[in-house]
Amino acid sequence: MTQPSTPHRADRLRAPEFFLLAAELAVVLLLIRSYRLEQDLGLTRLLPVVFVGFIVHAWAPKRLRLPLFLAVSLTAFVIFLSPVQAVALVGLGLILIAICHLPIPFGARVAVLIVAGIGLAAIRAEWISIPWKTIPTIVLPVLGAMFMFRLIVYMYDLRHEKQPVSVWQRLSYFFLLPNICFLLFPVVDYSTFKRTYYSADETAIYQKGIRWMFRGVVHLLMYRLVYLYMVIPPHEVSGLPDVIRYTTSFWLLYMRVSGQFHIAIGILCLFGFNLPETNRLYYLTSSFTDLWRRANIYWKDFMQKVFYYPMFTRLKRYGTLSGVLLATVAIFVVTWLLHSYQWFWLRGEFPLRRVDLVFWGLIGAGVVFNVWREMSGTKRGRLSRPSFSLSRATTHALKALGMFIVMSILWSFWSSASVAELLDVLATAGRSPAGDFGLLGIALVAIVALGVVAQYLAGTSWPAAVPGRLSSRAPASFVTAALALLILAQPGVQGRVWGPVGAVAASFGYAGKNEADEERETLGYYEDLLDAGWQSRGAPDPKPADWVTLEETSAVRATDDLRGIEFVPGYEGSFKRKTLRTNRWGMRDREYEREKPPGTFRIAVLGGSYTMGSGVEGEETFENLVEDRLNRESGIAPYERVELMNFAMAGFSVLQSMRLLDLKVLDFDPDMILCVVHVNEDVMVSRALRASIVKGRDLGYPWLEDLVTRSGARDGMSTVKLQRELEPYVPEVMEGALRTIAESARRSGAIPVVLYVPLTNEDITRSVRRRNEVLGMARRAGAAVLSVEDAFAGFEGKDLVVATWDTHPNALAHSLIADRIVVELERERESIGIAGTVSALPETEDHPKEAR
Amino acid sequence: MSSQQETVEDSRERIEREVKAFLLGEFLQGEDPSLLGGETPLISSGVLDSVSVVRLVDHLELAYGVHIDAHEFSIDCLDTPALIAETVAGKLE
Repeated sequence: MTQPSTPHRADRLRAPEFFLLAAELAVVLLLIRSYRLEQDLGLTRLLPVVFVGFIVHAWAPKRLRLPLFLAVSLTAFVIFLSPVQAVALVGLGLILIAICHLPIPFGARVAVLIVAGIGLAAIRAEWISIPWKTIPTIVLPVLGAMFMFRLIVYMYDLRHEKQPVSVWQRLSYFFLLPNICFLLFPVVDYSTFKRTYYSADETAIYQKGIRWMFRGVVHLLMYRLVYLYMVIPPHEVSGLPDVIRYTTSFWLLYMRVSGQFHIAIGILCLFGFNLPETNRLYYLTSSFTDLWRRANIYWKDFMQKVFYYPMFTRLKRYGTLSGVLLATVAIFVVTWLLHSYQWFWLRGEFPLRRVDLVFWGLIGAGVVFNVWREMSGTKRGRLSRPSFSLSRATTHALKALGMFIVMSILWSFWSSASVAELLDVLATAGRSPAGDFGLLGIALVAIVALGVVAQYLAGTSWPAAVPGRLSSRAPASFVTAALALLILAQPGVQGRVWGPVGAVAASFGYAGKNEADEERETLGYYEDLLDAGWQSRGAPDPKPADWVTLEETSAVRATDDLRGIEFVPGYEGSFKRKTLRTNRWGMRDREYEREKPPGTFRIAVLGGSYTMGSGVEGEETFENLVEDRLNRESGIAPYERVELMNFAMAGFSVLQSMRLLDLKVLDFDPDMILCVVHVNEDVMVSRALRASIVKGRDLGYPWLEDLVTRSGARDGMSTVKLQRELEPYVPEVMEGALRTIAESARRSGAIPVVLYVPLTNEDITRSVRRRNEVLGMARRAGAAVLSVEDAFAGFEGKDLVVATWDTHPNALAHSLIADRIVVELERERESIGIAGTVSALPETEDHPKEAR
Repeated sequence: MSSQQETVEDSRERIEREVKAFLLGEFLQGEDPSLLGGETPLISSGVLDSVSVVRLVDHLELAYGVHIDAHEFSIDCLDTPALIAETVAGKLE
């Protein structure tokens, strides 16, 4: 029931009801854990705190509940941050709250807050250097998430506050438990926060919280399906079905935001904060105003309260209609600016992008138009459910479908790299046969019909005007669905249920990246900044400012051949906060003589940033570890010594390695060419080839020049078009590069070996197809093949990476790779061709190594 | 009760009746008047949106000659006909 009531109705909680609630909560939390939902944000770590906190809080005396909620929040802060960081967070927060209550005029307090905010912003942007390095990158994003908007709302309400408010309630408002996990957080209204605290039967509030958390789980699972199966890179779009998939997937990805919001507010309900819902059926909106009111209700309320109404009261002297329209325009300008403000606190940059302005401008224009119509006509509200009307239901279904299409296009425009890219993608629909358009027409008619039927069955037009009432009992559908999902989360069950259901359940549990994002992530690894449109909006990114790409350092210089860059010989500096030293030959490695010492088996190692050792010390690379172990332990009998020379360079694929081999590596007379590849090698090859075409580099191989000519790719094309033209030829390029490497190696008497190394975040069961493709190419090219794909078995990705924002392998991961390489070299030495070679002894006229 | 208090009470009831009539005429045409009680939630239930609130305030200011501050465009002051009447009556006292 939603009736207002006296707060703290602890006497209403009864043991049987409570145990039922605890069991339901346990099921929802187990679902989150089983499907590893938002694991990267730390949600799974928050679950025990939520569960234990709920149990203790629900039975605590009412006067202790707010202090207890704060204690639970602070416990979570210590778990997520270090104790020092947690103290810094709370200390800074308390200072900000104290400023709000200084015994000085209101305007002066606002001025002090602005000055304090500018100071913190300067630290966040690292314009001001402070001794505590984690303050700007870790503490301030969390502080920003808690205070950037709530402080505005708090000050607004403080000015008009008449009722006494306890210090615990004030502190609880800022230090909200789930905020430590979800930095992108709904803007909780202070008045609502106070007014709704235990504003209904507490069992019903708890029940609502659990149900919303479950709804959030469902949103996140649906998001995962969209993410895995619908998202498509723009260069792969090649017809009407792909265009539909490309555009709708962006809008559907918003389910992640609503999923997180539901879980966050659901958690707060567990502690008596009977807050309203954050999103309501936003994919079924029938107009821009409807969308604005339902997609992010808390944001709309925040804008309305702090900006819209105050602006209207100032502008209404120009007339009510003018005041309303001008205030509406103003809130969209403010929304645009505040999204950049939010981005700044969470990610450290203040992007004022035109695409954002256009996006919010278009939504704003739609809302202004609707508002003008509403102001000019009669607005129709509802007190009761209307009877079904075919014409009204059809109109509503058509409007909802139209809005979905418009929002899909708008959202894809917002998320695309450029307008040209989006137009290029949309233009591919023209290549589709007429039949595709016919099918689309039938599908649209079917969707409208489905919408009409749904409204008929519901007995009313959606959306319902009156939000659902609170109930202290869980609906059977919730319990059934939650239990079914929990059972399906068990890996043993997934293999036994009907194929498609098992596959969907397995996808629900896949917390990794989709192929498109693996591609983008790899570009990130290999020294390319992510395009802003592709970035995960709202995800915390504490990457420090000095975490630059290799090309931004003076360790490398440009070349005009396929490689693009090469190391400066004899360089010593820092890269990703580790020492970067190159030897006199321009390798990130120890010093070696050009002439191979007698009795030495020399392996030239080619590869990218994993092999180069991005983010680890030179002595920690698997290349050096393998060299040390071979020389210390088994060796490569009967050679006295083994040398591994690291020619790898961040960003290199087999394409650049091919050129490097021919230009430089063979001068060192290697006995083996060990070419390291990974699952995204094709992506790297494609990228390298595009860069060479755009920059007009000498391709250096007639077969490659011929292939580029055949593809039709040329400089001056848009990135997406260039990528699309080249894409069908990438496997051919890759195999050609591997073949060239193998042939060059054999011509010089070296054994060509291709080594497969897993990515730290690679799910090797999912990557098997792509791995086999890469290794199949290597075999056809005439190279021997080694694979250490299971090197990270038994370890979690987070334990293997150099930083939370950089998934290159850390020292542990390098040692695991090295261990497996030594084992594989020993096991596969015969198939590779090391054993029985005639040059087991130092090379002489009697034992020329070409005889191998 | 004193006669003064009764006058204030009468005034509130009158304003509430007038507010209900305005709401039914402007935003709830065709709805059953009996469904609109003094405690019927308007903003929190979605019956009134921001545009309706602005029009309501515009009407209240014109009809009763009062000024309603921006922070009063809220659930706390305008969520039900009774609250609206109380807010307006409070300003007339």
